[in-house]
Amino acid sequence: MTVSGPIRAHKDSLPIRAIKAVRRDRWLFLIMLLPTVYYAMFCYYPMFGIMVAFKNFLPKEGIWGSPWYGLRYMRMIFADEYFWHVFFNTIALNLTNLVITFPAPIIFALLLNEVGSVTYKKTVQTITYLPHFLSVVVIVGMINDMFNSTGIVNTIIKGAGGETKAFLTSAAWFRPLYIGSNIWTNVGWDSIIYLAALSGVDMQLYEAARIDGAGRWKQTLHVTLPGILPTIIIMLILAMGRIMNVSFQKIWLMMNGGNQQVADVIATYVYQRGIVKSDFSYATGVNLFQSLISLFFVIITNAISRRATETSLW
Amino acid sequence: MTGKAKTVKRPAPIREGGASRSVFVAFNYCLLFLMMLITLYPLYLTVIVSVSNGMNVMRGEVSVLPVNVTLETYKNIFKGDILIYMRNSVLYTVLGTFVNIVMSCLCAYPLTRKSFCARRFYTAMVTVTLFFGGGMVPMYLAVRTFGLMDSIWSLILPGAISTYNMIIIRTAFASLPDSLIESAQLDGANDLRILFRIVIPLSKATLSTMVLFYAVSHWNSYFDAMMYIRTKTKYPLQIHLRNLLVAGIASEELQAAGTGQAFAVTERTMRAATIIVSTLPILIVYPFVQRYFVTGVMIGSVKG
Amino acid sequence: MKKALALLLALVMLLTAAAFAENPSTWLTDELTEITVMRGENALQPLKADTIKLQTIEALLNVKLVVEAPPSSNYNDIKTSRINSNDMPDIMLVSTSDVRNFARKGMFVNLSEYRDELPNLFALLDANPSLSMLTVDGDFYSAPTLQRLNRFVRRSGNLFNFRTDLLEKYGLEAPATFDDLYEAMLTIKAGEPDMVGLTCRSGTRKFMDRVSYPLGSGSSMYYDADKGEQWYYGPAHEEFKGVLEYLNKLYEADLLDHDYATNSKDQWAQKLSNGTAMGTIDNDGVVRNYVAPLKEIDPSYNLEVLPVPANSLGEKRIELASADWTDQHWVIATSSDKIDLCLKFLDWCYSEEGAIVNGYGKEGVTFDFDENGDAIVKPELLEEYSANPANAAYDIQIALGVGLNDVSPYVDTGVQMQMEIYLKGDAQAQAEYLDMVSKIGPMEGNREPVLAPPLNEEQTERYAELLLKVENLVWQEVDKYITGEEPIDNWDSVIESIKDEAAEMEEIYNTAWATALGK
Repeated sequence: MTVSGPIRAHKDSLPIRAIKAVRRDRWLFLIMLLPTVYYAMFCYYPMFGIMVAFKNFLPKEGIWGSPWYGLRYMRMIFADEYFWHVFFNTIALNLTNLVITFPAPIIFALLLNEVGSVTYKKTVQTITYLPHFLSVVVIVGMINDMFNSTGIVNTIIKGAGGETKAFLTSAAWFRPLYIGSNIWTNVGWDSIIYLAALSGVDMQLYEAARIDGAGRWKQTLHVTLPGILPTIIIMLILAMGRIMNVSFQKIWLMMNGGNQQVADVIATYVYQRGIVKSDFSYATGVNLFQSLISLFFVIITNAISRRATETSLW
Repeated sequence: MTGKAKTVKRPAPIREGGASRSVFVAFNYCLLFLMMLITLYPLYLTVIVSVSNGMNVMRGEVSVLPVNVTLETYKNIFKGDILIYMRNSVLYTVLGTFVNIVMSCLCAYPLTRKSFCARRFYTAMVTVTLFFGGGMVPMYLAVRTFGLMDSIWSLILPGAISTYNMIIIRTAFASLPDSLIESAQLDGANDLRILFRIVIPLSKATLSTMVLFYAVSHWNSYFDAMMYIRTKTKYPLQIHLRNLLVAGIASEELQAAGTGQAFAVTERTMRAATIIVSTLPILIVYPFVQRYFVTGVMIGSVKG
Repeated sequence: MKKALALLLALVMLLTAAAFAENPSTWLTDELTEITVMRGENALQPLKADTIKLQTIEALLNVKLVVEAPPSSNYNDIKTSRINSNDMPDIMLVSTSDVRNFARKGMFVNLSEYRDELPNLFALLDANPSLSMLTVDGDFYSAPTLQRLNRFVRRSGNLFNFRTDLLEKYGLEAPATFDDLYEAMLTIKAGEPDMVGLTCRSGTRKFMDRVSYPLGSGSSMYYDADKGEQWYYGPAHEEFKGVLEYLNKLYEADLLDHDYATNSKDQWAQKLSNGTAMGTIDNDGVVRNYVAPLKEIDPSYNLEVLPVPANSLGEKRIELASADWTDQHWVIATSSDKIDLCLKFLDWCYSEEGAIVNGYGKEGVTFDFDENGDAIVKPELLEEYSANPANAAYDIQIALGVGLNDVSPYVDTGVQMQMEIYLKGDAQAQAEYLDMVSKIGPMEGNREPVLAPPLNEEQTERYAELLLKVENLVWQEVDKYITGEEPIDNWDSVIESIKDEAAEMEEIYNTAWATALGK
């Protein structure tokens, strides 16, 4: 960076300043060239597909040629009472899920970090990340086996003199089961990113803290956590971006008449609609709406985090 | 892991804090052990189901030890063109991950340079794609328009950058001290050089994680291949495995179901074996990635 | 002069010979032409590129079939993407709802317009008036997959499967009514307290789909031949209360699996194959898979299809699966540049010759006709491909490239059945098997399924809207009544809340039904 830059820039007119900036940053532009081409070809070019939400899509005419339908589909979506019901279900499920599953891998990574034995640490880690690779069908199958009327949980409850519960068909138990199994599946895998971040915390800071007489707990609080905070924040914001995403297959497999009231989400509803009448434009409209909602969540989170921690997505 | 690596300064919990500390350590070990157990059993179950006779599994007799051990299920998987599929999968994973990492690093670095005049523009360009996408049909049209249909590039280029992963890389890059880059610039290094000589080597821990994430997603992906690949000899392994899996489910819709024949392989044993076959390579590769963040390759060791 | 005449004669002969050599009468086209056909590939029967069937077709028709076969697991996504991208093969396999969605958008050739060029196809369609339900706005845009009947045809359906050995053990008759069934199960339960009675799989909805009709109602829109030959929305009617009441009675007496609402296929299979369940109403072909594991425990155990018991209204009825595959349609893309040839080829598939080639391969090489005119697979082929009994029926079809899972719009399942029979071993076992399967179709109370009427665009829209609304109301309630959480009389309030919508839906269906039948 040249010290004289800003001073001279003040004198130059705008186009000249622009040319100078481009010249100065030519390497950065060059580096960015390939990614830009990628984003143009495979993200922005297909993004025109969103137009379909406002068109009566005719395959023969293509995305551009299909006649405009205006806000017809949007109105259809918003006028539908049940859509709002599943919309709030989606948000409620995902927010609860986020609040509970987000800290889990962080805590897990911190606990793992406190383990002295390298072998033990590696073993625990290798084993706990494996459930990530089980398919949803297998996981729901296991939930079913464990929590049905004769499953191990009810057997234990019975043995302890309690009354068996219909966990699988109860609306109250749907979210705990869904979220609990999410933690089980992903806690190990998700902690990988934090473990990587932990290894990046400067050792000198620990030493300094120790010299100041900080114990393990204080060190964690004042060195470790601030060290991985940027990663935590970014992961949180990214998670917010997925606030409308759910594991369709998992919910579909877990849903039944008993818990549908809370389990039915946008994805399952759109799917059910599709069975009766598949509609490319309707589905695109719903997606667009979901995108806007997650964008809203991310903007809020980003603004808060920028004020509080100076880490932000943009 | 060599003995030397262990002595790199990751301070093992030094005795401090006395009794309460020992209680915590003991508690921590137990807790993690418990976690390991509840994870291990379902995985163990998957293994024993995959090598048991399908009929015994069906009757619910397999829960502690395999019953009537048979390798029929694996034989079923490993027949036909499986070697070609495996080779394809390895090729797609290696090439795809390489492209991913290079592209993501290229994209992440300029976004961390605060002095970059177009930083805001590019950040916006990238962020928008987190939320808005065209969906299945427009993507299909794009792949066809660019002439990638039925080519290996249709599996690699459309997902060349995962914006999520790229942002994680960007965070890692951004955590490097500015002074490092500035001093390199004073030495006359250009940005490309700085990226490959300084920034990337110092972000090994995060990058190895990203290699893992990208590689796993390539290894597990089947959807793109189903959509864009028409020649069977170009199929990746996952299509084959998935197709085997759903075969059992699909066949019940046909009138062509059961004849009352005895059988050793069922949908359930098949499912278990498929999980093993697709997870094993990841299990083998994992330790190589793990060493980068468990033993701790230190940033602090580079003192500028 | 003579010389000239001879020359002329020779020339004529040569020309005729050349014409014959180049263009046998069976050829559909003078130049060898490729037709691209797309269908989903069943993993149990991967499609080979150069089978004897494809060779036979090429020699016979001068048409080279290029089969694109993406995995059936995601065929739906691939198919809709290709249609929506207007990037279709010449001929492809689609579902009924695809036909309805995309025919109106002009993606598929209107076959009714080419009626004269499709004599074989329309002969079959006209022979079965119920197939007119597959039209779109009065026209056929698709050729449904039909079954060519032969003496080996096996029927199946969601039938009443029960442990007959238990009936014998406790000296019980096969239940004639559902009340008898209740009593019989009570008796069995007294002796076998650990058994769960009737079981089922895949949730309440699927369970009710299977049991509502035999019990006198329907779980959704259904055609009732016993009540005025009309379409009804089952849950909105009094009879549905009877269904719930009966199921509740079973539930209270512990004769209905208490996990009926959540059983996965695996758990259901487990209960049937390890002897904990007394019976199930489900696909008999699938259930038959569990007989072998069951007999392994005790050879006397048996799970068999019984005639359905009569319900409280005195009706005996249960639905067979259709003999045809009415959800698998062959369509020709309007974007194809050889529509005429595709039409000819498709019609050939529905000819006797086409069905035999698509079902058995090449006469004299893979099969011979017996004295009754039935195609019989060469015994050495049966022998050759029977090595792996679990997949033998598919293995032989893979090798020949024939049968339902290949390009066979007019399916003859002979090869598969002949292999199944062959696998039974000795003549007596073969005869028993053939006897058993031949009894299933004509069993008392087994009814042919009725196809839903085709709705026009406006009706489709309205119907979808109404259906979503009532289904959401109904299916959150059903379980409460089966488990007894709600007293049965409260169902009246559910009926009250969906009455108007149900009536409108019924009207839409009955109107469309009458229109399709040309009444």
